[in-house]
Order: sequence, then C-alpha cells, then structure tokens
Amino acid sequence: MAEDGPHDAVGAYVLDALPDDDRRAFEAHAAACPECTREVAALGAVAARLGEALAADPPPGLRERVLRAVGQVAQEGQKGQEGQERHGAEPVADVVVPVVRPRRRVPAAVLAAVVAAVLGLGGLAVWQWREAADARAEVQRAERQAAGVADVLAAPDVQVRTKALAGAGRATVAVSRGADVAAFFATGLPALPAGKTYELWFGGAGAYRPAGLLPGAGDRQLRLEGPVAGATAVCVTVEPAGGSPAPTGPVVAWIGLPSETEQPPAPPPDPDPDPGDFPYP
Amino acid sequence: MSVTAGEPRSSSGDRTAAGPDLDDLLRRTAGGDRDAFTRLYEAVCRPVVGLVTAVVRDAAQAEEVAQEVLVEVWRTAGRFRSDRGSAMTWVLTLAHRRAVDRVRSARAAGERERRSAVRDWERPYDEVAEEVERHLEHERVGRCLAELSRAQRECLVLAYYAGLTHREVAAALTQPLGTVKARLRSGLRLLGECLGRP
Repeated sequence: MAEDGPHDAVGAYVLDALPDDDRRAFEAHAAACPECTREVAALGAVAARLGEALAADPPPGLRERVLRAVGQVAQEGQKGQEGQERHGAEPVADVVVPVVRPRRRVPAAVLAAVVAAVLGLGGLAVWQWREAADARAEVQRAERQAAGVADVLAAPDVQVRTKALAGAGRATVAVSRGADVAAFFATGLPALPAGKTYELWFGGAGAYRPAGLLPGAGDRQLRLEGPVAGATAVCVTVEPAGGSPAPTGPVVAWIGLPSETEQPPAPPPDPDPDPGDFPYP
Repeated sequence: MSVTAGEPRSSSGDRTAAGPDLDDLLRRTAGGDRDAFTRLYEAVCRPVVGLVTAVVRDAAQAEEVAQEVLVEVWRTAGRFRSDRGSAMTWVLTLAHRRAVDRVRSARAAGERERRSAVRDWERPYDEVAEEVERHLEHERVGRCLAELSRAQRECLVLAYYAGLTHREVAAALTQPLGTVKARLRSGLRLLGECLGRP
C-alpha cells in the first residue's frame, strides 16, 4: 500500500474520522477497490465493537417514544433505495465479513476490573513505566526505607496510579492488592512552611485512615502504613508537623486505587478556599 | 501483568448464543414487523445509548440522537445486508455516524464564533478515556485496548470516542497526519486480532 495513498485512510474512514471531502475521496477510491471494501467491512466490524463495549441505561421514556415514533414513521421502500450507509450499500459485491465472536454481557461488578485493565499496568503510559523504574533505582539508593518500598514494587500484582499534584510535581501510588501493601512516590513535591508536613491517608467507605507522614520536599517515597484492604484511594494533605488523626489540611493529591468494587469516598473537607485545579473525582 | 479481568466469568448476566438472532430481527423489522423491532430495540438500546452518550456528552442531546438513531433503524432497516456485517455492526455504525454528525455540527456552529478560542476537541486523552471507562461494559474490549501501544490507543480513542477527525487527532497529539492515519488503521487491525483470539 503506497504511503499516503487514499487507501491509508481506511482506518479513519470506518471511525468516521474523515472530513467530508476526504470521505468522498476515499469512497470514490474504494468503489473501484474490492480489497478496500473488504478492509472497510472488517475494520468496520472492529470499530463497532468499540461502540458495543459501551453501554448505558436508556433515559426513562426513550423506549415509549421510540416505539410510538415507529408507529408513525413509514419505512423506506424496500427496493430501489439508494443506501447512504457504508455498511448497507457498498458498491462492491460479496464482501465476506469475519465472524465476530459472540459477546457476553458483563455484570456491572466487573467494571472495576475493566478499568483496572485499561488503566492498570496494561494501560500504563511509558513514562509511568519509567517512573516505576526510576523508583526502583531510587530504592537501591535509599536502602533503609527501600526494603518496604521494594516489596511493593516487586509484588507480582503491583499496579501503579499517577496523578499530577495540585501545585507542582507528580504523585504515584504503587499497590499490591495481593500482598495488601502500597507505596507512595512523589516527584517535585513543593516545600512546605515550617511546622507543616505532608500526611498520607487511605480512603475508603467514606473514612480516612492515616497512612504515614512525609516531611520534606522534592522527590520522596514512602511505604504506606497499614493494610490497603478497604481503601479505594490514597489522599495527601498538608497537616501540622506530627500529623493529624484525620485530614484537616489542604488536599494536594487524591489518587484512586485500582480494583476493588466500591466507589471512591468523597474527598475530605478542604479548608483551602482555592484548591486550584485539584482533580476531584 | 496483574490484571485479572480476563478470566472467563460463567455466572450471571451472560447473554450467549441463546440470545436473539439480531440479524433475523433486523430483517423482519425491514419487513415491517413491529414486534421484531421491539425485540431488536431491547438488544441494541443500551450500547446505542452508551455510545451516543460517550461521543455527544451532553445528556439531553445524546438522548435526542439516540432516539433519532433508533427510529432510523426502523426506517432504514431495508438497507441492512447481512452478508456485509452483523446487525449490531450496522446499528452501531449508524449510531456512531449520527453522534459524530451532531458533535461536528455543534462544533462548527461554535467555532465560527470563536475560531481562536480553546476548542473542545482539545480535551485531553485521559479525560476522554475516563469517560469511556465509565460506560465500558465489555472486559475483552478493555483488555484489547490495553494491549495496543499508547500511541495507537490515543488515536483510536480520540477518533472514535471523542469523534475527532483525523486532522484534529493529529493536531491534538501534535503528530503528522500520515502517522495518525497509519495508527488508526494498525490499531484497528490489532484490536480485531485481539478480539478474534479465543
């Protein structure tokens, strides 16, 4: 296939990603290209799977309105109708469409696992991988604390979540549900005023448990204290030195944890009147 | 890889081969069979609503588009040709086209007024992906998307779920148009291979 030939647009075409002029050009090309038509059918079926994977409850009344409309709207004539849809009216004959495997409707409880599949290790951006690798290197330097952090990173089911901090820098949580442990890494953590410390929390079921103090700034790491079980998020707040039994200070990061089925808890009250663009869920 | 979503789940809610034969229902719909259409509606309305909502985003507009699509299924069922793809593919192709039409005409109307303003297609990939995941009900598609390279996945998600043209995808990702075209095509092909694996 020639680079930049009209055929290259076949993916964009089935995704409805061609502007009108390009779409017409592609259709003119495909009309004389059985190979293209075959690929349109095959990739079109794949694109439809992207759509079929989504599902939402119909709004109330939709069914009644549609069925009522159907009682009033005449159908197109059955013959001589020039179809406009690529699927139904391709100019080229006898395209064999690959059989799409039967699909299973997945119960809502599996959603969390799907999200884990997309956002978890399988969906990790390269820089997140690098961050984990950097963290591993860091671990080797900071031996004393490293033991705990390395355990987490070495767990066979470790998953990583990263979020931008409200101010500057980035926070990453590595969690192993199997080992029930988690570690926290921050890069570019802003310096705090005297008498303040970062404090980490496990959030779940509307409650927050202290998960450790992180004084200092810059690139930091911490093995989180206590079990992960029950937590759906890790939260970072600014607290008075020595920490607080419950979050009181401004939230600087809120990182949802992979898997488990319950919803993330609401973020704790934030006394900071201007939290910036902190990514509340 | 820690993901456990791939294990087959045999219990609860599976709709297997015993489900309705959608091709047959759509053929009967084309013949004016309203009962067949009603059963077809039951089978396709959730994915139609999910897809249209993900692309259009605005709930009221999405509802309008979903309704138009479902009525159009009835009206144009005679165009369906089962030798060119499944009924579900036909319906969702129609739904996606209409959802994208709506997004583009809304965008064109807005853009005439604010050409240089921040355009809504500059929605970051992660935001689109999060929205998609809220509606994603199919573990295999999720897993297969995760198997693609990030570059391929970004292009596919922005084109299909955000309804961008390939030029807009290229601009949003600051990639050459040819690269985006190639990724859309190779991404779909790999996705198809993954979906077809037993």
